[in-house]
Amino acid sequence: MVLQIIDRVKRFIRTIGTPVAFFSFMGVGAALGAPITFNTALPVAEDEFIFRQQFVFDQSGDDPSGADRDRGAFAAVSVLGYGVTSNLAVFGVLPYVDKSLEMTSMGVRRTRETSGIGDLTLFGRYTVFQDDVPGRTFRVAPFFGMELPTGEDNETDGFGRLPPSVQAGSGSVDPFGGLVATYLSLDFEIDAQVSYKINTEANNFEFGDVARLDASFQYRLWPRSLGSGVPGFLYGILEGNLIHQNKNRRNGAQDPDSGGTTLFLMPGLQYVTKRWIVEGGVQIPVVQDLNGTALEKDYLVRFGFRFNF
Amino acid sequence: MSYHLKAASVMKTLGSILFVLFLGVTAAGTQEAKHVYKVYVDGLSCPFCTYGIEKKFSKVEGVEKIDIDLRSGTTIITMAAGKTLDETTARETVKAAGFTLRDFEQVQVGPEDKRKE
Repeated sequence: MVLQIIDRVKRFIRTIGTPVAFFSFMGVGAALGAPITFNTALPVAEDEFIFRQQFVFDQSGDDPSGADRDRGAFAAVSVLGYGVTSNLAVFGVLPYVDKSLEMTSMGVRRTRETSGIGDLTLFGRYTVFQDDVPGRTFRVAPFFGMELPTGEDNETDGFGRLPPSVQAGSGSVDPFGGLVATYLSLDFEIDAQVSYKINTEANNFEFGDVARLDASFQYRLWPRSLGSGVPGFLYGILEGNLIHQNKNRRNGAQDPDSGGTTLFLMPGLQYVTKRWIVEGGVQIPVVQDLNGTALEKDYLVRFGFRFNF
Repeated sequence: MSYHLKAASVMKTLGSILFVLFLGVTAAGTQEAKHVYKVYVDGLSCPFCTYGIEKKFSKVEGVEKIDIDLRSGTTIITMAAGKTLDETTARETVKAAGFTLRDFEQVQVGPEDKRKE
């Protein structure tokens, strides 16, 4: 009886939301704030909401295995942040994903694809250090959260069950945590984040854990000099993401053709007003040290908006 | 009654009318005068952050108008007629928005329209 209820709840959750290893492989940043690819320590006002929508195109196609694999993914990632207090903010991240994998096997070109709600990520961030002076602020905030298995993780097609990297959800509950620091002045902003995500097993498969080191520099390009009131800011952005993923495990054994280390650089632009932000950039893998025949990234394109309400 | 006496009487009457009119205008001005405060906010450095300050102050009872100047980190709060803002409320409001109040001053006192130098 209890098992039946759990199964029904799981099915219900799957109809309303989803998570995945998507959060890790897409490197989707958290919620508000300035960086495009990760979080910030800037505040969400108490009892107020902030919304972010980001669209991500992820292309991988440099295949050393000879199977001529080509993997493409599109994600529409919605983020809602809420200020519980001026120091504590909670966030929910829900992606809609559309993934495809083309490969040649025994001379036949095959396409495997799926789409749907991905894995829901929930996390909290607490500001432990805050130093405010006129026109500048420095903050440090640890964050902890969990990626929940709301995405479909057992999708099949004519060739059988889709591989885990193509499923919309991971099927596993994956905790993560980290620390983010932000220095913001009227002219520029610097953000840095270190984080670790523990991917757990589901369906006899376990994605490798992910360790990340992220940094972002934003410089006000316009207006060159500040007038009165609250003008819109145009920032030029340069972000770096050093991401290491351990090898995946299938049936308890490590997959030698998975995991590795990638360094991304992302130039971008961001226009910031009092109520909304529009932003975009292209993430380019400048260093890829992957294990075995793991599929290499070509690029990621990110654009989106944020809204204060 | 001589011409001069009549003229003096008319002048007195006109003077009285003007005085009454002046008093009336002054009284009306006193009723409409509003308390205005300058709130100095530390840490305020980007346009997106200012909205938190604006939203939190807009929920304070009696606040009629909020003008933020990002460069100087100041927020001018204009209260509705007869309403006042105290420093404790301003400090709590700025904190709720995630920032720090550095200074607070009243720049316009309602009935007397006194401005600080």
